[in-house]
Amino acid sequence: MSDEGGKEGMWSSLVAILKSFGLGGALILIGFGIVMLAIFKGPDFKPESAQPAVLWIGLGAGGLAIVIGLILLRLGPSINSTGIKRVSRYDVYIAAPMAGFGNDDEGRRTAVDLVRCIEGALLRLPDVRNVYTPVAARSQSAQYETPGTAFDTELTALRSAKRYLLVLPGALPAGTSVLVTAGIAIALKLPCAILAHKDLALPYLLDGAVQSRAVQLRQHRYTDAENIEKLFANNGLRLFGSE
Amino acid sequence: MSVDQDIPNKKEFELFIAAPMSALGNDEAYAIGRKNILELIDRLSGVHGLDPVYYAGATISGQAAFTGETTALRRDLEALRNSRLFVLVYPSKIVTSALVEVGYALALRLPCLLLVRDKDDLPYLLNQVEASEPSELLPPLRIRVFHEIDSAAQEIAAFRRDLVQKEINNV
Repeated sequence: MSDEGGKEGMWSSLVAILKSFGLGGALILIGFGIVMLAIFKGPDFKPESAQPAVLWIGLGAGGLAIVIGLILLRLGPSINSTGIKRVSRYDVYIAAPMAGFGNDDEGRRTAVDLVRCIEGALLRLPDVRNVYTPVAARSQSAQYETPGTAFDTELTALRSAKRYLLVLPGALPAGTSVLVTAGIAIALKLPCAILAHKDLALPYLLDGAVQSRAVQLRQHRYTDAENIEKLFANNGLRLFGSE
Repeated sequence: MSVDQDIPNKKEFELFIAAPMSALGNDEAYAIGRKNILELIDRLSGVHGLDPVYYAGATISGQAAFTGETTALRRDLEALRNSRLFVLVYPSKIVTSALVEVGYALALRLPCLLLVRDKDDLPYLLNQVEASEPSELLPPLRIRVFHEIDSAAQEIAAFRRDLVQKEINNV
């Protein structure tokens, strides 16, 4: 009975350790445990002739567990400010209000062209491999698979992005989704940049975020696509703040 | 009425109310919008016992009294982090920082209630989000159409009651 209780206790402790520290953290703890056992219990091992071997095997096995644990921790997802594990999948998430460039097809094309130009400029940078933008992925809102998918898709993409880039035209359309994604990016503490048309007045809180040191949000003004390409060519990822 | 007027610190708010402020354009429109929200807070406190409530406009009587963007941002984000529930009052389709606050609240996984006159006024992403089930990423979210302050207060109280009930059922 007590044996069963002991086994159950050990098992639940192991599960608790795995939940708290993950596999990498648990391996590091186990590694330290083995090293300590080898150092303090190795000299008591019988027969005495086997003690050096026990010590070295213990140190080796413990050391190996620690190294593997450290590697797993390094490769594992990071935990962000909202307490959710995050896997970085995209180097940059680009948001742009489609309606802001014109309500007709031409306006939509202008937005898509501008975002594709920015995407190209980003992908020419050495540290950028993957860029996500709902503008290019779904150039029309109806292209989301089901009504409920849109938000999930964007939230997942934002959570797996390393940086957030907001491209704003000369006038913001009312009720635009990009203000919501900007709020999410700020809460996730992503390095953010706003490329704002020279004529645009930013919404009050975004203006505050640009000026605030508490939020990593940089603002850059542009006049046209050529101007944006130059900005990226000259500054690279420094546009997002310290890199 | 109990509205916290100082910079929020460790205190927890029952509710964070976001509503268009500077976006309303002129002092008259701002005064009307502010009066409505203050009435709503009164009703929440007096009738439904929801207290304390954070509303950025509580201390700002007119548009000339805006404290500065950086201070406003710091106060609002700190209050958001210290609130149990987020409510957006979005009476018309306009460009407003309140939408930035919705995004912030969603990322923090605060339960969100979006009160609108017309669901189509909401940004596309928010309009669709009610169809998603709450998950590890998405907090409970409800969209309701309101016409008067009284019905808005009832919706808020009902949302909170349902959340509490769900918490009890999960224990």
